[in-house]
Amino acid sequence: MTLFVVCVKLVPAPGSLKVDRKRGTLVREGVPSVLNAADKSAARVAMRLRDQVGGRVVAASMGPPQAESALREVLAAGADEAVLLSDPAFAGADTLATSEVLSAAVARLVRDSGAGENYLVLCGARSSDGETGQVGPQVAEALGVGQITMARDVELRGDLLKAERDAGDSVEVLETRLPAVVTIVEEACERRYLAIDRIVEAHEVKKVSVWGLADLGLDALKVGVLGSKTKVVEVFSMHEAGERRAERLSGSLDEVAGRVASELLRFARGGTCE
Amino acid sequence: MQFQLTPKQEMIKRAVREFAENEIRPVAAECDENQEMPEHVLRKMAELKYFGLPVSRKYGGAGLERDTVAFCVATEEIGRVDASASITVGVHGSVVAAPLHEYGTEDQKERFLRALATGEKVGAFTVTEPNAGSDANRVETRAVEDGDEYVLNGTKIFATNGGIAEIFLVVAATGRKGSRQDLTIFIVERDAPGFQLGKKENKLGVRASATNEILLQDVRVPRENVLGTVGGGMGLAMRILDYGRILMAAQCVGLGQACLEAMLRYSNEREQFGSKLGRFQMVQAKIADAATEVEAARLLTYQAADLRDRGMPYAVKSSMAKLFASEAAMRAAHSAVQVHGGYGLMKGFPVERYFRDAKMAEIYEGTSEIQRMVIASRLLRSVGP
Repeated sequence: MTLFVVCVKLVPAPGSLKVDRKRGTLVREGVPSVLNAADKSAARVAMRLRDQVGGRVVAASMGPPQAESALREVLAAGADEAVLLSDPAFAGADTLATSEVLSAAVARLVRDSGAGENYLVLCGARSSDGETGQVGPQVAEALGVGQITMARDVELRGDLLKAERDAGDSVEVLETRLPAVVTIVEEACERRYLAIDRIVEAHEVKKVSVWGLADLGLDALKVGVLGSKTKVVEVFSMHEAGERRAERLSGSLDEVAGRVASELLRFARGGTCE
Repeated sequence: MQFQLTPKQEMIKRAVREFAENEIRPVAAECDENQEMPEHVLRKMAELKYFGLPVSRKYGGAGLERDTVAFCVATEEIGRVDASASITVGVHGSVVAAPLHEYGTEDQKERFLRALATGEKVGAFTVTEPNAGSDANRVETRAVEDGDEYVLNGTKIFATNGGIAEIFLVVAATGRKGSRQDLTIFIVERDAPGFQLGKKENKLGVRASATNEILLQDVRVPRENVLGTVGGGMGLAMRILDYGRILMAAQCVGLGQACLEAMLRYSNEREQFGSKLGRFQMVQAKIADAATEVEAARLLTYQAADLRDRGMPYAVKSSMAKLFASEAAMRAAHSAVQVHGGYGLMKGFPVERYFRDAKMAEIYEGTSEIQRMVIASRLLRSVGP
């Protein structure tokens, strides 16, 4: 039996991203949240693979209790079960600390299901709020398995995973063997609507388990704000940052490169770009 | 008291809105013009279980048989984009599928409900006749017992969904004329010999909803197709319509919301006398009134639905909701056209369609006058001697 684990995230709805400049964080209270678009595609890919080769799809999300709605949505789209990774200790996590929790959850799911080596983790290639694209690769590193990022199409034959990704004017085809992590771009799937009976089933029949620090056997110093190696110093909206200007540089290659270098230096020294 | 949708209801709202915005809105004006819903839209709505909203999943429905609020939310979201599509699924669900679910025998559910819930077949409910409109007691279609069958003769008019339906609930007289015990509801299939689809009505509004005349000539219906009891049709029809009105109210809430949003959009765009329309107090008043009334209609509608889900009496509330929501939608549509000025009269903007659709809502499924009579008579009875 192949185990497919889809990692998903609840993000502010498009157009409602608000920034708390004092705290350097995104405002989440009172802002409508949705399932991250690329994660939605990752979930669809997981469902398609499961329907082709058999197995189970488990959705996992690290977040506050509200993140349950993202999981319910993946359940409505066809996932078999879901786990919410929620614990006050997880709060304030950067991408590394998030990957720590997600990979521990994957490890437990693999153990509990007896899937052995036969599992695939799918993540959205990036979240529409953080936009780092780091979580998927970090989960792969933590699990010590192969990874393919930014896939727009995925195929699974036995334990051979084949993925296509856009490389500008060409298409790259990559292969790896299970177990693996693959991150999926939003464009990988066409829009599909949720059927009402599936929404009802997702809320009334299917289960969302909640796992905390102890359930995952994790060290409190490795998760949340304590386990984070990066710190957001400042967050600001591009609109608040004042007027944006663009300029086309012309001249010889050396001249243009020189201008770019001097502008970057000025910016790095705390000046503003001209 | 809880004034928040549940997570399930929220997800249904988002899902239906996404579908309605992407799949129905682009074709709504064309549907209105052509007087029909495109087959592919109906098929997609069926796949997503919009035709089985109040039917349990056991019979292939969506599973909202005890969540009328969610049924309302879905109907409202479709109605926010297109009244015709909203009526099509709302009527099918509330006065055909839901009654079969609630009052049908197990055999009837297997034979008819499953096909209705999956949208394989569309349903219609027919009471109205040339001489029996608001006065449903005067139904002249007769059903005469003959062995194990009933033989139906008569003419029904203004049957919502009539043109696309395959399963009809037909109210016919089975007893002494003029008696309250006179009526019975029959489940009639379109392919029954003697069943004929009459003319399709060319209406002012909700034009894409297929409203037809139905001609019944010696249509033989087996006894097993009686819904409820023989002679119990009047009471049953009233109960069915009490429920249906909640959904018609929900459709009107969606329509009123559409009028409000159109007004807001236009008031923020259009400039006259050097100012956006939204800066004029007379326009602001229209916006404020419409927003307030639509919100009040929504609360009344959800409350009626919630009472039903709790198993409490809801008939008066459902009439109040239908009355208020349809009239609020009409006033909102009136304001929306007015705010749009000359453009409001033109086909390029949707508000002229909203205006025509809203007028329909004050008349079908019980006119405003009938709703007032129902509300007042029930209240008077409740304190009477």
